[in-house]
Parts: sequence; structure tokens; C-alpha cells
Amino acid sequence: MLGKYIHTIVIAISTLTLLSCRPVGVPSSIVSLTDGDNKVILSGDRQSGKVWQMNQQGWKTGSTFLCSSIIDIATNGKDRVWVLGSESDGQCRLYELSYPGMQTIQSLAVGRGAASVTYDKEDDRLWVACRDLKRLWEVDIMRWSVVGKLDMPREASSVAIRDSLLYVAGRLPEMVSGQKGAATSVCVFDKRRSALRKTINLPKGSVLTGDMVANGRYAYLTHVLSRYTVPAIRPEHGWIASSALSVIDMDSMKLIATVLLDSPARGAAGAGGMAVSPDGKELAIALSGINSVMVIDLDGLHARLKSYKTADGRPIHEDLGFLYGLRRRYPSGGRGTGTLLYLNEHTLLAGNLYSGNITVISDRPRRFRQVGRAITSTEQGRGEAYFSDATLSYQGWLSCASCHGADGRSDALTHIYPGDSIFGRFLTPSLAGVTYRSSQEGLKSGTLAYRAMREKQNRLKPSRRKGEPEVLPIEVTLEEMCFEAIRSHLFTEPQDGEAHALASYISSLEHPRSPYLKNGRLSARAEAGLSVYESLGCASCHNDEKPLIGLWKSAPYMHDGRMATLEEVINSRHGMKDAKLTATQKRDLKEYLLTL
Amino acid sequence: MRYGLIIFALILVSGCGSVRLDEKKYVDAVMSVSLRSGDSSMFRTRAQDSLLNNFPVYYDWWLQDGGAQDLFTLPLRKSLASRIKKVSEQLGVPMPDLSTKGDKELFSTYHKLCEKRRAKRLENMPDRIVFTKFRPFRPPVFAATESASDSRGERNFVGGGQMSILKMRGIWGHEQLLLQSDSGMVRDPDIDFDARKLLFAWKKGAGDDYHLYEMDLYTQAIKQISKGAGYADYEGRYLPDGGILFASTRAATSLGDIPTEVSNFFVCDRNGNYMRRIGFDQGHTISPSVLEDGRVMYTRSDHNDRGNIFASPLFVMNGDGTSQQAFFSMTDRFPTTLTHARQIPSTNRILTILTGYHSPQHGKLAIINPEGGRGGENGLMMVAPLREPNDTEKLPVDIYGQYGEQFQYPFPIDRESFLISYSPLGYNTGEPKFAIYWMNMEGERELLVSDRRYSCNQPVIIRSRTKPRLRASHIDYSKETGQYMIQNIYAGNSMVGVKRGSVKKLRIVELMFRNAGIGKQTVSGPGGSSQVTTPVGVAGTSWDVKRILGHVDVMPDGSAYFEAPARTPLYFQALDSLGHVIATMRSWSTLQPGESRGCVGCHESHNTTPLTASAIPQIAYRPIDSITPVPHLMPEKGFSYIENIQPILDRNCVRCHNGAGNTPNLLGTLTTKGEASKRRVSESYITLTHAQMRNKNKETLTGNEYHPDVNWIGSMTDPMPLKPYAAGSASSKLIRRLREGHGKLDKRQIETIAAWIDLGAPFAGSYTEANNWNTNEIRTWDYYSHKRHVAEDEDKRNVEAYINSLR
Repeated sequence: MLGKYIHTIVIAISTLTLLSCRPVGVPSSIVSLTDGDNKVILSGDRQSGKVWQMNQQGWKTGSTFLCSSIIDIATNGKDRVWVLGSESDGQCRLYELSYPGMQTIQSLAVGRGAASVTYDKEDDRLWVACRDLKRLWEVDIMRWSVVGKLDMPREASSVAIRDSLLYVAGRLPEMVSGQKGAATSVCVFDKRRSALRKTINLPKGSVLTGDMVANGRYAYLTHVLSRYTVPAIRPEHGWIASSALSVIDMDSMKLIATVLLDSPARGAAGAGGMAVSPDGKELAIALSGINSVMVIDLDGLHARLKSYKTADGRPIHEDLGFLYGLRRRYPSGGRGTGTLLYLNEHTLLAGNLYSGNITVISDRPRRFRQVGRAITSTEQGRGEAYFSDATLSYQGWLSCASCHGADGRSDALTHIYPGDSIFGRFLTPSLAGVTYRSSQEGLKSGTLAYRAMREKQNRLKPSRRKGEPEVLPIEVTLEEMCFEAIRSHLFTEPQDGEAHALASYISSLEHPRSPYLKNGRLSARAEAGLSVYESLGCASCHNDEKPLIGLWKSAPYMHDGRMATLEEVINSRHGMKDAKLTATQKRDLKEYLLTL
Repeated sequence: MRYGLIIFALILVSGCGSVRLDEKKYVDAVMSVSLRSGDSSMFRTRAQDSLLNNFPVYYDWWLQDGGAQDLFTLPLRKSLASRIKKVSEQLGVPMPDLSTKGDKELFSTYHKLCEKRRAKRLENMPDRIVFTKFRPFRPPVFAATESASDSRGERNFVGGGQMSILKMRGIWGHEQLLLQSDSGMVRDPDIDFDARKLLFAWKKGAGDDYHLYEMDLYTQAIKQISKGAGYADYEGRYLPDGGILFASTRAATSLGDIPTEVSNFFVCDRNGNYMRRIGFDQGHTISPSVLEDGRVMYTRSDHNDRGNIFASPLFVMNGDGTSQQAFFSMTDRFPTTLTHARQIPSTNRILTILTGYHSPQHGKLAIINPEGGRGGENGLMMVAPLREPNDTEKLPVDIYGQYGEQFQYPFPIDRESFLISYSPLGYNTGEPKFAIYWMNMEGERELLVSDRRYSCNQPVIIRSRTKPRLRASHIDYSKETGQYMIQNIYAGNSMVGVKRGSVKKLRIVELMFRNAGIGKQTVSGPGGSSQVTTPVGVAGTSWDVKRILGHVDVMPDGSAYFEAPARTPLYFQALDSLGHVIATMRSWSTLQPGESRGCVGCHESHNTTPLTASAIPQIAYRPIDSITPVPHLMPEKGFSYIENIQPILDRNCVRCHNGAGNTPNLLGTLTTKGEASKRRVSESYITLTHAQMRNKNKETLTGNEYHPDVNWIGSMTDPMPLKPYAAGSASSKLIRRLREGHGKLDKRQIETIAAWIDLGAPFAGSYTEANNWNTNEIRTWDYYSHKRHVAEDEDKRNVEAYINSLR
């Protein structure tokens, strides 16, 4: 039985053709081990594929080259280190290293798109999350093989463990972004029975989860709280997005509350990595968007959660003053602060992805160690840093990544934008493959392209006389769209070079190959689906201008996200006029569409 | 020279010039007054005044280390010993052996310790600050400091003042005079982001007006930025977009309570070009300061349909004038007035002065953390030392904070310390006299500079600042409108208990402000006591003339989205299916052209996000609404009782209600009752407002806003939010009778009367209507009307020029 099981997994792994892991900066993770009386710090490097070793003073003591990019590191804190890395072709491997020595003992292929590795002390397991196939591999450390799998929520990567339970947070909602309220959820699995015990729903608009950590009875989860049902006419007071911390009681498997990390006039965009202080009294949260670290008093937080009454009786996750007096903000001294590590109660280290340095957090952050090259040395790298940089936005409320994720995909939500005289609802698009837009019929007035065209028109012929009609220019470049995105989505005046760098980064984004291809080819069913696609004449509309690429990961569907699945789209007979399809044809067509 | 002697030369005053350090003379002076028990308190006061004037640093140390009293009550030796002990403890050094020392040596020991302490405290003291010297303003109401050359009601100006730089050398400052104006006044210094230029306001003499000037800090060359006789331009602030924002009387409107100029905000470029109005406010907007994120915080007097005394909250707006909204104490009696607010660097906290309404601008010092609350004692701490306000400090009184030590013009240095214009003895020695201090939140202080003749005011650090990233401005002056979007009108504490779907329309009303103050009334209520000039009706009715622009739709889910005129003060009334007011906004809102403004509901907490649980608002699915004018409410002009209401009465009521017998008199005959108001009102108006000669000297005709027949939200109501249906047509017995058929009025006629009640029962539809002015008063009115026309024309020309400059 087990053999068959493993066999299936091996096949699945070999066919994984997921998003290649982009090098998004260093350090990708920092962990520490105890070596006698000393602590050793290990940091993964996404750019060079090395694991750096440092002592407590920040001196580099060695490095180990493993593969082209390091994604995540886990350790038992003593003599074993597990490193998740990827090769240049996107294939990911899990390495087991000994400490000291940092010699590779063994390694294991885990397919494409692996996102995180979590060490499970209780059962001597490793849990490897594969984002795009929604799978969590169970790796038996003793036997050094994959012994099980769990179906995860969409794009999950954060895992927290308590006794026999695994808490796995989804990154994106798997539903229509409509009236009912879209949000991602946390799935609780009984890891010993491989069974889903419970699904904990997060408040409406919870997307793009960052990190989850467990501390005793509680699990803490950072994520974006998107206000997608409110027209995006201003960023203040979290009108578009806010940064949230969900607190989960692992005894009762219930969400206690979601609290906002932002202040009334100061956003806290980019809440990601977290660390709990050794005494369990403080929670540090990396705020990559504003290059800061927030430290929260946990006793105070839980005491307040028990007795708090919010203004106007509104829910806690609508109250920007909830953490009043319980939080301290520190500048991180780097850019893109993503990972945190407490060396001891008094020393908190922050890993800064884009500036490539590790800093010690205090009122005046000091440099601890440069662990790689700042990615901002290239134009594309600068663009990548700007993409997640909320200091480009008004009061630090949001960055491009607050809706598109750090990799330019989508939050799977529909947002409302003001047009000339009516609002429009638009699904956040994936930015891979976006080039420029040309003026075409039906371009809705709320879209960014339309706004960019209008702004270009204003620049070419500013200040029309009263009543003079607008004539839109024929096309706008990606850079002009980025310029307008900073103005109308981040609500600030772009500064020199920002739009150009953003455009450079966005044009570098590629659609990952569909995991539904078999060895890079269409399956028999998908081939049949292609015939259906052709016979229906879908390509007459879905040409190069309106491509269907990346459908497998871009749910919900249609420009306003009104359909949750491809079945729904096919059953809605979208664009098919009178054509009648059999159930098989529909299934084949779906199979084909998933491979695009 | 015409305006008297003006010197702007660089004068280096010696180190002892501004803070005298002649220890021997000081000791002699102290010994001569010490323990002269039996002397009158007058003597003590004079002695204190003299010591502080002549030996400011020494005597301030004496005061802060033990208070003023023991100089006259305790033996000098004992006083000195206790002080030396205190400072030794603060410094963590052993207490010196005092037994062998004489009194003079004790002084010397004490002063040496104090110097050490000063060095420690001033570690973070900036190198250079600029400050002004003048007699503190003593205005009739805190905000009225314009001293316009043609002003009638404001007599605040006292000539004579200076502007100086204080350069720190070690622990002592050296004063460098920048500008002296013997018969004029120099005020409101501001330093540009590069710390190269100094912006200030200067009135060169009684016949001149405050205008903006800029000094190059290197060459000391002065450039005049604004001009225009009769217009006061002051409190200029450099904006991150390269422009200048300032308070000015160019709006040419007059206060509703005393006949003096109102200042609104204007912007212009660094050369004074394209000067245009961005504030369209009934009362003063003053004391602007630029926050680190580029917003501007300021004080706004804000009393539409509520009392004026407790309604001077802090407001905030973007640098381009968009998003003007309340920041703190919008709807609370305490604090009475907040002003001189400045952000503490790298924090969300605000350091501000708490003062009264009929008060000068100095008062008590507080710190506000908006996360902790948006008014009252929530989010507020008293400063120096940091403490919760006690019961006395929380008392909401008109003349607030005018006892004990006095603070004004705080300027934060960092999280812990700030510069402050401070008077430790306050009114104890007569009119408070201020010196510039370094101080921290606990109240530890060091006197930096004082002057025998003047108060030292308005310290500003000379240092370059990071320019905030500019908020994208979507202002488009080629447009005449902006947009409002309300997510859910049922949210917020003003609509508690109102059933979803019961708000059908929003009535959009424009406020129209008076050109000049003519005639007066006295009025009082829960919101304090005040005078009213150029009254619009009997006392207790609307402050201003109001014009009903029309209605917009409110969706069943409470959302609304509509276009509204920009650069116009507007307020909104939520109407039910009968057209009765459920709740009315007792403030106003102004859009800039092209501005898109979003709010959640009525009086939602500013610490909350939009509502997330609710569905997509229904307005997201329909085109933007525009205001539908209601022809019978005469949208083209102010709502006039004579034109809107009396014709209905004449047609339907006066046949019976003609004053004969016991029936209420509903005739339109005008009377001059309540003569001091200089406004004629009709018999029917007096009847319907149940007005009587009610105040002490029987000169004011006062309406009864609580009468069950016709009741309204009176002009002196509390600033706190009211419950839905608090007053107005919905609870009017008159309206009920009319709906039941009494008088056979049609629906429109009843709606008109209901609208009149809900506007606060105004009589006049313009400030000149039914006036009872004499020739002089008419001349006065015409003078100020002309002034406004000129100002409006100039604004129009400047906007055109601004549009052209962008081409």
C-alpha cells in the first residue's frame, strides 16, 4: 500500500513543473543552532545558493554551496540542518547537512515550486510545502523518504505544529470574490491520520499570508486584510489594504481575533516573518514594506483580547487603535525585512531581503552582517525591491505586493476602482506577460491602462479648457502604466527612476509552466480538449491580445472574478453561442485549459 | 522711515546678553529680598518679577528646584541645602559638605551643580533656533490675531518686536538679531526643508498688514512674498510640493460672534504667485504645521448648528487642501481649544497647547496619541510632567488653562524633549511673560533665552528636514466639482438605532458666510454663551445663511456617491421618506476641484477602517449621482423665511391667524423687536419660533428651540454628537398638524416648512435681507462687500493663471 503511495508521489514529483523559484534576495531565512555555549547562525542565500555561517558577533565563519538558490532552512537546533534549495531548472531538493562540518549527508528531490520546510520534533518529520500543487509532503527523516502527502489550501507555505496537529495557512482564497466575502483559511490536519480536522476561516479579505508561528497555546499568522468591497479611492485608514495578525487558539482550534498592525495614519505594509522571544513574551513581526520590525507585548495582547470593547462596537479587525500601547516599531536598517531571529531576549536579528544584510534591531539598528549582494544593484533588482516597497505609497499603507504578492501574481480578489462616472470591478491581474496596452474599444474607465492613457493625454495637452473632450492617446508603455500605478494605486508622486525600474522588473516576470502538463506535453485528454477549443473557435477572441495563459493558477475567472472554477466558465457557455458540449468534451476542454 | 525705525542688522549680543549670569549681583538681590516676612504679596510678586527679568537662568533654577514660596518663608540656608541635595541626587554625585561654607559659597556650589545638570540636559539641544519677540497676543477670541489695518473689531496689535537666532555654544546661547521692528511685529517663523530660507509674517506698523516675507539665512536678504492693503497674510508654512500655505483674511468674511476678520487657508508658490483659497471655512483656521507624511495639521473653529465655545478642534488635510477632516476633539467639550500643534518626530504623537475660546493662545501643554482616542481625555496626556489630566484639568470651561504656569508654541526636538515658550509664574506676576526653554516630558527645563522687554515666542529649530514623499494630487482646476462617496450612512454613533433603509435622501446645503458683523445678539445654551453678529434670525437659530442645493439618493444599503460643487462649504442632512431630518451634520466639508472623497458613515471613529463585513456598496453598480435641485426650495439663493415660508402662510393661514383674538399671529408684518440685532423679523416668525425678549437687558429676541410645536437644533447646543431625530421637523407638532390636514397645505408646502425647521429656523436668506441698518452700517457693509468682491475676483484670476501655468 505504502509502496503504491510512494510510487504515486514519485510520479507526481517528477511531473511537477511549477514556478521556478525566482531569486528574491538574501537572506531567505536565518536560523540558529546551539554549539556548546555558543550560538551559530545560518543564513540562506537565494542568489548564490550558499548557506552562510556566522557566530554571535556576526563574523562569518564559513559557507556551504548547495545549489543555485536557497529557499528555506530548518534545523533541530543541535546537529542537523535541512536546506530546501532549487536548481537553475526550477527543480527543488531537500538537503540534510550535519553540524558541525556542514557536510551534505543526503538529499531528496521534491519537485518544483517548493516553498518551505518545517521541522517536526515530535514525530521526527519534515514537512515540505509545495505551493502550486497544493501539497504538503511528509518526509520521514530516519528513512529519508516522502511517506505521505496532505492536500493544502491554495498556495500555502506556512506551517505550525502543535502535538499531533498541523496548522497550514492558505495564501489565496479559493472562491468567487463577490458579495459573500472571499478569504483564505487555515486548515488543521491530524498529521498522524492524514485527515483534515478543521478549517478555520479568516475574516473577509484575508489574503497573501506571510508567516505562521506557534507559541504555546497560540498560533500567530500575518497576512494582508484587503478591503476589496470598498472602492479604492484612498489608502488611508486601510481603505485598500491593511496589515493583520490573526491569533489562533490551538486548544480550541478557533480564531480568537484578527488585529491590525497599522496605526491610524501609518500603515504597516508587508507583514511577513515572525519570531517569538525566548521567554515567549514578545512577538516580533517583520514589516518588509516599510523596512521595520514591530514588537508586540503578547501578555498585553491576550489580556486586551479578553476584555476589549472596540469603537462603535465594530469588530477588532476594523480598529486601528487596538494595539495602542502594546507595540513598538523599530527601523530595520535594511530593505525588505523578511525574516527574524531572536538570538536571546535582548538581541533580535532581522534579515533584509533586498539590501542583503542582517541587522540587530534596537532604537538605532546596527549592521550585523552583509550576507550577499544587495539586489538593488541592478535595474531589475531595484524594480523588484520597489515592488514590495510600501514607502513608495502614502503613509506606508500598501505596495504593489499588497495585491499582487511579492512575485507579481494576484490576490485572487476583485477590487473596485473609480472610473469617470461609474465604479468598475476588476480582478487583480497576474503581471507576468504584461507589456503595454493600446487604446481599444471597451477599455473600461476604471482600469489602470485607461487612467494611464488619460494622464498621458493630460501630459501631452495639459489642462483642457472647460468642456473640452478628452482624446485618449493610442498606447501607453509599461513604464507609463507603472508611473500611473504609483500615482493612483500607491497615491504618491513617482520619483525619478521608480517607474522604469518597476517596468524592468515586471517585464522580467514569466508565466510558470503549468503543472498540468505531463512531461512538458499535453495529456491525451488535454489533446482532445485542444480539438474542442479549436472547433469552438475560442482562439478568434483569445488571441495574443487576450491570452489565456496561466489559467491553472488564476482563479477566480472573468474580468470581475465572478466564476470560481473553470467548470463554471465552461458551463456558463461563455462565448460559445449555440455550441453544445458533452460532459466529456467539457472535461477535456478544462484539462486543456489547465495546461496553458 | 514710514513705519518707524527698522533695523535688520546682524548684532551679536554677548553671551550674557540674553541670559544674565552675574552671580554676585544675583546673590545680593536674593539676600535682600529673602525672608522679608510681613511684606505684602505685592512685594513678593514684584521681587519675583524682577529676579526672573534680571537673572532669568539663576532664578529659574531656584524656582524649578523648590518653588517660589520658600524664598520668602524658609531660611535661605535651608532652602539652598535642600536644592543642593536635590541636584546632587539628580546628577548622582555625593552631597557636598556644606557645614563649613558661607551662604554665598552655598550659592556658588548650587550653581555649579546646576551648570553640570544643564550640560547633561542640553546634550540633544539643536545648534540653532530662530524665535520671535513680541507681547503675547491678547485677542478677543483666541484665534483673532490678524490686526488687519482696516479692522473694526480687533484691537490686539501692540507694535514692537524682533526676530532672532539663538546659537548654542556649549550650554549657553548667543543671540543674533535678525530683524527688529520697533513699531511693527514679526511673527510665525518657518524654516524650509533645506534650512536655507526663513519664512515669516511682518506687519511694519499699525497702518500696515501682516504679509509673508522670506529671508535668506545666509545673506539675510529679505523678499516680500505677499502684498495687499487690508489683507493679513500670516502663519506661512513651506509645503513639501514647493508651495507655501498660509492663513489669510483674503476670504473677506467676518466671524459670527464678534465683528472681526476670519482667516482661512490659502496657497501660493514661493514667489507669491497663483495665490488661491483652499479653505472655505466659517471660522478661523490657524496654526498650521506640516506633519512628516506631508499632511497639514491645524486648528479650525467649527460651529454649524452647535455652540462655538467648545468647537475648536484640531483638523488635518493634505498639503493641497484635499481631505480636510477632524483629527482630535471634534465632538467633545474638553479640551476647549487645541492649537500650536506639532508632530513629535518619528511618532504619531502630537504636542499641543490646550487653551480656551475667549482666551489668549497660551495655556496648558498636552500630548495627543490618536491611537488612544480622538477626543476628550482619550489619547490625551498632560505634559511636564507627563500625567493623566486631573479633574480640574478636565473641566470644560470657556477660558481654559489660564491659571498657573503658561505654555505656548511647543516645538519638539525628539521623542523626549522640546523647545517651548514658557512662563513659570504665569499670571502671578501680571500678564504672563515668556522665555524660550528646553524642556522634557517630565517638565525638567533649562531657560535658553529671555528678554527684559519682550516675551520670547515661537521657537523653531533651524535644521534641514526630509521632504515627505508627495501625495499624488488629483486636483484639476478645470473642473468645478468633486465627488463624495459614503460607504454606509448607518455606520457611526450618530445613526444608532436608525433602521436600515430609512434614509432616502441626503440634502446638500451650502453655508454662506457674512462679510461683516453688524448688529448683535447674546445667546447661550449647553454649548456656552456667546454674542452673534449680523444675526440670521432670532437668537438660537442658525449661525449662517444656508442654501439648499438639492438632494442626492441614498441607496437602501446606506451608500451614496455623488458629484458636488468644489470650493464650497457643504453640509449634509439625512432625510427620511417624509423629507424629515434624521440626523444633520453640525460641521461642513469642502472639496477641492477634482477631489474624490470617501467616508464610511456619520461620525465614525477615525481609528477604524471602512466596514469590511458589509457587501459591495450598491453605488458601485450605478453611475455617479448629481445633486437634484428642488425648485420650490429655491436652490439659487439662501433659504429666506420671507420668500419661502411667508407666502405659504399668506396663502393658507393668515385668513384665520391674523393676530386678531387668541389665534397665533402669522402675518408677515416686519418688526424691529430685539433692536440690537439690526434685523427686522416678521410677526409670524416670532410666533413660530416662540421668540421672547429673554436675556437680562431684554435686548435680544430669543427663540425657543425646545418648543414642541417648532423645535430645532439650536445654535448653542453641545458639541457632542446628537441622537437621531434629536430635534427638527420630525418631532414638530406643527408639522404633524399640517400633515393631518390643518390649513390644507400641499406636500411641497409642508416640505418647505419642514426644511426651514431643519435648517435651524433661519429668517434671512441673505445677510442684507430685512436689515435695519443705518447709513453708517450700510456703508460698513458695502465696504466689506466690496473687499470680498475684489478678493474673489483676484482668486478667480489667480486660478486662471494657475491653470495657464500648467499648460
